Amino acid sequence: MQLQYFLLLAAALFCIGIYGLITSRNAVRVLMSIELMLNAVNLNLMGFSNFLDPTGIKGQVFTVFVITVAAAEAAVGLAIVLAIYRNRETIDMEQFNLLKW
Amino acid sequence: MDFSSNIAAQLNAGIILPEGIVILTLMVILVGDLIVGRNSARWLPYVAIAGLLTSIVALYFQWDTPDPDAFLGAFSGDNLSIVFRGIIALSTAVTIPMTIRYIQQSGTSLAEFIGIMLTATLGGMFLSGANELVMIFISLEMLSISSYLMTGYMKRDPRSNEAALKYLLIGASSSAIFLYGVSLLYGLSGGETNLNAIAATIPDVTGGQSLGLAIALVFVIAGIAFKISAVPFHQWTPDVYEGSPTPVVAFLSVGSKAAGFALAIRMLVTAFALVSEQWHFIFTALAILSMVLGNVVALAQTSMKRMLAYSSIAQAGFVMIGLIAGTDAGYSSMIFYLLVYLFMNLGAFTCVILFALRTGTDQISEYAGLYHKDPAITLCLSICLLSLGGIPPLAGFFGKIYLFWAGWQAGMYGLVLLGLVTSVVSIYYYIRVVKMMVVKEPQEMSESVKNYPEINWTLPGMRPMQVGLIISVIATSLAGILSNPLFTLTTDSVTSTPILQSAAVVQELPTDQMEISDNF
Amino acid sequence: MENIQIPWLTAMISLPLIAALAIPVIPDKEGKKVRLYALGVGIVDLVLMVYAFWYNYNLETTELQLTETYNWIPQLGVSWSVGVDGLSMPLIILSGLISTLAILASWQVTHRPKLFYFLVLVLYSAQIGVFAAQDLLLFFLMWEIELVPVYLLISIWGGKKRLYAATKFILYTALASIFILVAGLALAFYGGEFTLNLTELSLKEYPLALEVLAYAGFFIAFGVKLPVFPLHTWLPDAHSQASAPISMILAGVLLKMGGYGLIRFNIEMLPHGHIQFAPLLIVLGVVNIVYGALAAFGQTNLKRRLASSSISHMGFVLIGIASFTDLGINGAVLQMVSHGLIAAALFFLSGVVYDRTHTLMMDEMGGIAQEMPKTFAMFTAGAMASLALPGMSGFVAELSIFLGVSTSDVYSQSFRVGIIFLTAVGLIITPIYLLSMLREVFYGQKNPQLKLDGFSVDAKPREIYITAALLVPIIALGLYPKLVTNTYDVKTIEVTTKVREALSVMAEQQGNNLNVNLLSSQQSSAMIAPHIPG
Repeated sequence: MQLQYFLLLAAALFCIGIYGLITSRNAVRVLMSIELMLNAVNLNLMGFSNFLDPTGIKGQVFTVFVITVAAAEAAVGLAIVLAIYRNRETIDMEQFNLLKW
Repeated sequence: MDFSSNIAAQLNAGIILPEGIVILTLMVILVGDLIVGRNSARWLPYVAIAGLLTSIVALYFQWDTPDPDAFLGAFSGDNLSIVFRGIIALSTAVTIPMTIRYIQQSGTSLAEFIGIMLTATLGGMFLSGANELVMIFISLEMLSISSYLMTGYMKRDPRSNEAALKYLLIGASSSAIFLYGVSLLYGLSGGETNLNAIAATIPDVTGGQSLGLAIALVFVIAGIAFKISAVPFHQWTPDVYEGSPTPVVAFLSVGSKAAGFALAIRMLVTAFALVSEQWHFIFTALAILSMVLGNVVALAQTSMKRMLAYSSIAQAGFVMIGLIAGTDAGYSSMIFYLLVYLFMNLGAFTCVILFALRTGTDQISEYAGLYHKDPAITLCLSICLLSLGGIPPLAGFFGKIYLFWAGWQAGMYGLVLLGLVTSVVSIYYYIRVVKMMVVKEPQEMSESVKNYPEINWTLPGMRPMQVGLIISVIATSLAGILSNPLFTLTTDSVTSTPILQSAAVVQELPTDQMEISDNF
Repeated sequence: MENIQIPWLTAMISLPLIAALAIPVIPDKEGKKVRLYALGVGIVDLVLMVYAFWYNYNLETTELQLTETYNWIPQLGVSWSVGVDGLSMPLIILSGLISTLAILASWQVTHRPKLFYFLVLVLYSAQIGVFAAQDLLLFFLMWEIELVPVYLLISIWGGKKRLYAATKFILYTALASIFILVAGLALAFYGGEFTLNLTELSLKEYPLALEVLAYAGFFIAFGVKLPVFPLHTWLPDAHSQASAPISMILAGVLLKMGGYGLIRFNIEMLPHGHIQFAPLLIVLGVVNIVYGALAAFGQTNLKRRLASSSISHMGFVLIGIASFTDLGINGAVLQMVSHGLIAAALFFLSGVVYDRTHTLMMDEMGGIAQEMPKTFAMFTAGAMASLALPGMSGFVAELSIFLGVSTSDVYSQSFRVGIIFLTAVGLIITPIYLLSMLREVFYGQKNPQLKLDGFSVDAKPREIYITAALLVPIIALGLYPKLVTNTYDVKTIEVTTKVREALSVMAEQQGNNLNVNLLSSQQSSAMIAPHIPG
């Protein structure tokens, strides 16, 4: 196995995440796209860690942190989505226009 | 016991004593709120302020500490970080007085809010000294997630919800992008996470400049630019500023922004020293866009908070001039400007909160004729806004002069000229508010001013706001005239910080090239 | 020589400002105490100036005097550095006199008096600061401080279109003042040594390209203030919309900041740039004179007419500055002082008229001389001074500028003749519009629609006193100009010498200089002449 494959997979995943971020109308789907992007980062870090830094495994430690923080972020995100659903009864991004862009 | 003290010495944990104090304060507030309940709101904010001020005192005693590296190099307590940590702690200490009344009037829990705000402060403070990628990421997220929570704190208010959701989605995606850049940086340096180690190994691994490093740079800058709300990563700013509770906006515009700049300096100067020409170029573009767009769009705003949002975008553009200059004077002018910006912006926001508490509106047109009803707030808001516009002899004038001075010294004539022109534009929209308040005759008063309630400073939570306002206004009016100690502080912090000093030597060549590329 | 240095200038600058800070605590609703207080401050400061200059100012030397330098922000190289020489001293006294009279003239300001006098006193400080500052950033700071008070003074106590006028004023001035900073920083950073001190800056040697660029920058900044023809459009609005006392300060002092800046920065600091720009200055000066006169002719609003005549008169300053003769520069300074007095008097009197008639449109007035003979007499005197009647200060100033430019050997014969001719045209229009103004306002049948305030139609003693305080120096200067020229003679000679030195150096270096053309043509004619008889 070569490092490039990991990086390419990560890059592809990242691009899918970006695509989902831009096109999704549902707020939960946007959150999921962000998770995809973070997972792409995790893949990157794991790959680098395995190939370049097998003794220090700093990348793997980093990955654990990223997963943890991603969970926290998702929790806060879902909480906000829940709050907005209670007030507005929708989570469609197009409907959120109280504040004009 | 022997072992633990050994570890402590090895980790040099004393460096994070100021943060430790904040953590302790946070604990006291959370536990105190649990035990005492709602009544604790009477004393909790003062505990928080006391904790933050103690933390600033602790920072003062760490000035020029002989061994600034803590936690095996993950955290650096050098003078640069001390100044930035001080700015962030101070901004929270000034923000808390204005939250008390605001949160109480909205009927939500004060202790939780202050707890989240202290967490955000903690994140910002750690970010200012973070010298290692994991540390940077964790403290950045600590700051960001607490900011999302604060933005959505008014959970019954759909505007606050919406602001929080937008902020969260844009913030999370930008931090994902930032993280992707960081992961590339980790790979390019051959598996290093410490910034200094990265700076040392990157030239060997990549053999000079590489495409990968440039990509990493772009991703990282996207993350930083989001934090400092530089155009074109600014779209969240006006919405979030308009929708979220005003004290949060005050914190975001000062504390969070200062943390972003601290991150920018540390990361770009060390890890990306090799591509400094490129990041100078990108930041020049960001600065130009921020100054032009921020100032021009601010002209058209009708809501005070939105106007201040665009003005804060523009102000970030001015501060970037110092970053791009890359000289000692440049960095210290940045810090100086952030310091005075803290007071003038927080002063302005305090006035906006006071006005909103009494009238329930943020529209600029509703300020018409305020002078006749409430000369004190009119005076304070006028001073703060004129200072933001750079009118002498207020502090903002000196801050801007220093930035432009440093920029000119570094040969960025075009950028300085643009900064000057756009700051004249900014005078127009700041003075528009002043005009609204001062010039309008009694018969031209707006409805909300006509129904202006009697000024009552004795309501619970009003006194601290008054004190905070007076401190901000006095600092805004006098920090310029008596600026010598501040200048000394900022210059010292820059000249005694090793990373900036070594960087200044490395950058001599690129700044010369900047001179040529910038002469448009 | 006393050993104890009294900080005269710092005291002069800071007294009104500090006094202004006390205004909010004066217990007074109607503004009667506040106005007395402000007047007292103004008089004390004026007395302080006169005393300080009378006893401590040496007329014989061109050196800066009463200098004080305190380090302010060493990191930026900024110091609180003030001093006066022959150039700034008369202007400081002028601003003291006019500001004090303006306070006295604003006796009937009953609308928000505290804010009014506060702003006027801040403006007072800033004016003196501008003329006394010897540090570039200090100068810039003082220059900018004056913006907001003037803005508010126009936009609260002004006429109908006051908001428009005030915004226009602040945008023009703020935008222009950028150039002071940019050009100043460019000069300060040039060469190895960084300095902001004006004297040191003028001793530096700059390359010609930098001089030309910096000159252009300063010229735009000061040209807006002066004002110079294409940059003047804020002035008729601001001066006509401001209330009479503020118009006095605007026309009497603030315009002079532009002229002062031109001499202090453009000529003293950048003599080589000045040589390049001087013909342009002359041309613009002529345009100013003719355009201002024609524009004044077309105005139906009394104050707009006076404002346009200010543009016309400031054209003389430009010509005098660019004449390369000490007579010309001398005349330019005299013209600034004299116009300051005359314009202040005329604007004040137009305010007196407005208080009675409640209109400024001249076609709505007419025939009020019968009811207001004293005002009429004073107005006539002011108008005569403005059209440069011999015996008044305007005459001396304009004459010496004329003499200066016509004896200047720098310009070719035909250029000088053209300039004099066009200027003379402007001079002919001046009496026409001023006299027709008198005719429309004071002579003829009384306009039946016009209602004068019944209780006190003619000028009151206070108003007569203010006008007298301005007219007496005007006549005194007209009869004995040495009163004021004495103070700056040595300085203008020094300035001229410096420019002329630069001129001769440049003439040696380059063949395409305007001077050389002239010299060579003279030489060649001299060479040819002997051959003809032979």
